Amino acid sequence: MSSTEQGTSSAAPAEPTTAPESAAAPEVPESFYYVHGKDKVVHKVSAGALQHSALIHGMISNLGYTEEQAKANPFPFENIDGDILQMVVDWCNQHKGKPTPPEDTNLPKQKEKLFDLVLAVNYLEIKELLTYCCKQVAMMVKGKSPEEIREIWMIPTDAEDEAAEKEAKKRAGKEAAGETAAAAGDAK
Amino acid sequence: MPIRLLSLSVADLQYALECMDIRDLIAFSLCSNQTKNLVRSSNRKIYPITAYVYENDITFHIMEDDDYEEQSIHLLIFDFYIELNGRMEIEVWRKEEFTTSDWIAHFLRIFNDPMIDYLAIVDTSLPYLDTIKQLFPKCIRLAISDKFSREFTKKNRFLEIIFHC
Repeated sequence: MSSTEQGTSSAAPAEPTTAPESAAAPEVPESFYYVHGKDKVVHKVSAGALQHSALIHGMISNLGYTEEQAKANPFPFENIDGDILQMVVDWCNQHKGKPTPPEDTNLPKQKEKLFDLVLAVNYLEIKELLTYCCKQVAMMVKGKSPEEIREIWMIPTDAEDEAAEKEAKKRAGKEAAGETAAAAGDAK
Repeated sequence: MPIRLLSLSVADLQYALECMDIRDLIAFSLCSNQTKNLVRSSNRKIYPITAYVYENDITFHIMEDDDYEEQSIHLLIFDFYIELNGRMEIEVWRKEEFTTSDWIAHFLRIFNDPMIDYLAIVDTSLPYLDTIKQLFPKCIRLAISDKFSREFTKKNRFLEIIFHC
């Protein structure tokens, strides 16, 4: 089941499809909010699921949106890829109102996605998911040699670090010189 | 596909390091000076390091603070390379620019240990003793196998070492 609507990018998104929560409906209807990533696809997420994100939870608390206002103003996360936001939303829905287990097997297995997921989860401040992601990152190098670790995690050698530092210093020097020249020009 | 680990935030990076076991952490520390400093700042707690000196190698015993036998590793230092006897197989890691003293300094440094806790001289020749003194200028506890202690005492070197420890 998914509470995501695909391809909606307008300020007033079409009615999303939402799977029933359970046979016994709660007395107080749950409020829903809307988020979209870089791809503008709007995801409908319940307030309960969004509680995992300290960032969004804080935004909701401060804004005091009605459901209509929330629908008309989806929270934009332009720095997060659509598929990554989808993963985050799915995780929040799966773990809504549940204690988080010590291990999570539902995380993406693709390493390229994992890094983007860590960045997104860090930004959205979802502590439990961040914990799982970091564990997964650590598992990438389990039993590997220093050379293999350097390759997997793209760690620069000391020589590369030194060269980059020199380059940065050179650039900073040039910029400072440029600023001084510009200031002298202005003074004239 | 590789990921650029050092682009992560410091907090995420430190949490990832916390999730690594001691063997992987040592491997990571050997990637570069930057990774060495990261491991150092992670403040991983380990049991005080013990070292055993033999004629041909020095064995370091490094163990996680929670004392699980599978969490302990044995490192045999042979000049520019080390052998790891942590799990099922023996691994060899090389650092061409390293000498024995560099390895020792590296292990002490990444775990913020100022000196070896327990140094055992098990099997070595007397001429090598001066080198040992240079490699381990200080230790908290010193043990010399009975096989050599008489010889050491005879040469007055043993007492000299004890005095310096």
